[in-house]
Amino acid sequence: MKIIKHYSELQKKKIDLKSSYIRYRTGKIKHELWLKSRKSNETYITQYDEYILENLQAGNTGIFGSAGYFLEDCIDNLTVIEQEEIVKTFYPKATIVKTRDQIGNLFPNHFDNFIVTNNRADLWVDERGLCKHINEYKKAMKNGCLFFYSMRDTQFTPWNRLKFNHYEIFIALAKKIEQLGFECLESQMDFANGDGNENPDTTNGNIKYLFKCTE
Amino acid sequence: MVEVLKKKNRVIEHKSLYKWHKTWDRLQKSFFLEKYELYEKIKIENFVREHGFQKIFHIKDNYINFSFDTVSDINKADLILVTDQVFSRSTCSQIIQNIVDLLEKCPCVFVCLNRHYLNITGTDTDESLPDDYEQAIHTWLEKSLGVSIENYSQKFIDDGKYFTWVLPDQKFYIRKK
Repeated sequence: MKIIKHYSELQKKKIDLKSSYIRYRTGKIKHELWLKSRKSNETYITQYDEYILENLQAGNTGIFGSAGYFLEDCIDNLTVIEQEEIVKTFYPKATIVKTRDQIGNLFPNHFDNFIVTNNRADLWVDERGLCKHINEYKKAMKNGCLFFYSMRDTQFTPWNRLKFNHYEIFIALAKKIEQLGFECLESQMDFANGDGNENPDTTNGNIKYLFKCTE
Repeated sequence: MVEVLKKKNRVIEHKSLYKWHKTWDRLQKSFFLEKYELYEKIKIENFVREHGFQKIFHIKDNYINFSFDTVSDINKADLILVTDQVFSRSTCSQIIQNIVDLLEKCPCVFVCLNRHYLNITGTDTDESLPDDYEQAIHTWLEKSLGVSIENYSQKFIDDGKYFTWVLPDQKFYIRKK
């Protein structure tokens, strides 16, 4: 039997629809809200989604990599953008992009609100890597666009969690993002209390920013 | 701000949506063509064999199919093995206390910690620790426990593809003084 250290040493199975769907679901946990909502007269959302809905401004809203189709009954002019082809099979209205630069090419200066919630594809990058992603999102934003971004502190890498103040790390990150042409309007950083849970909001991420695009 | 569409009533879902953790290893294995075993799992099995441990009490939260037998009574163990991810999600001082408590039950403890969870509350920083995070974890344990610790961790920058959520990456063999 093969003994391995890393995914890259393995060959992925030829992806059938079922496997693609299972893989997608394990990575996009808010898909469950859509499954629940589509069979109901009610739309199931999280507290953080409620916060987003309360703060949206009029106009076009884009949501990327966040299984955002569950919000279709809550937001006018919603564009759901995902990277996995499988999404088209259950939500044909989704726009599929291979890479982030396609978002700006397809929707240049288009959105008044742009949302990225705990997107697994954004994880495992450092400050530079994240800023690179956000710079691509920015190309699809109008000047004045509100940008709702959230992530988990445990999957932002690499940093020395025993040596550096966690709040300072994520305040510094917000300042770096501001340098791309944003103003940070609000931020919320909630770390665990040591009760065994990873953080108070593993669904949406415990680091939440609201930026305004200024350029 | 704008009044959003209200085609349906909105219901706030308060429960966590995570649900696959306990079978994550098996689920991941179904994604790949070849049968495989984790290097880190084999490493622990080799450690157990080479040290002659025969009564292992395993503290775990997800399914890992180790080749060795385990005992159900911690007081009869000759080694306590911790792979439980939750173990790393206590405060730093609680993790140390938990290790001390385990050493009271059994003089040999092999603990696997998930580096991404340590100092989960964000409040236990120590500026005197080394800049290198992996080295800092080792130093923190030795400093806090006051014993010499053997480090069985691999050096790597985690990109999320090292199976850390199956087996926590930072591995230490700790013996009571």
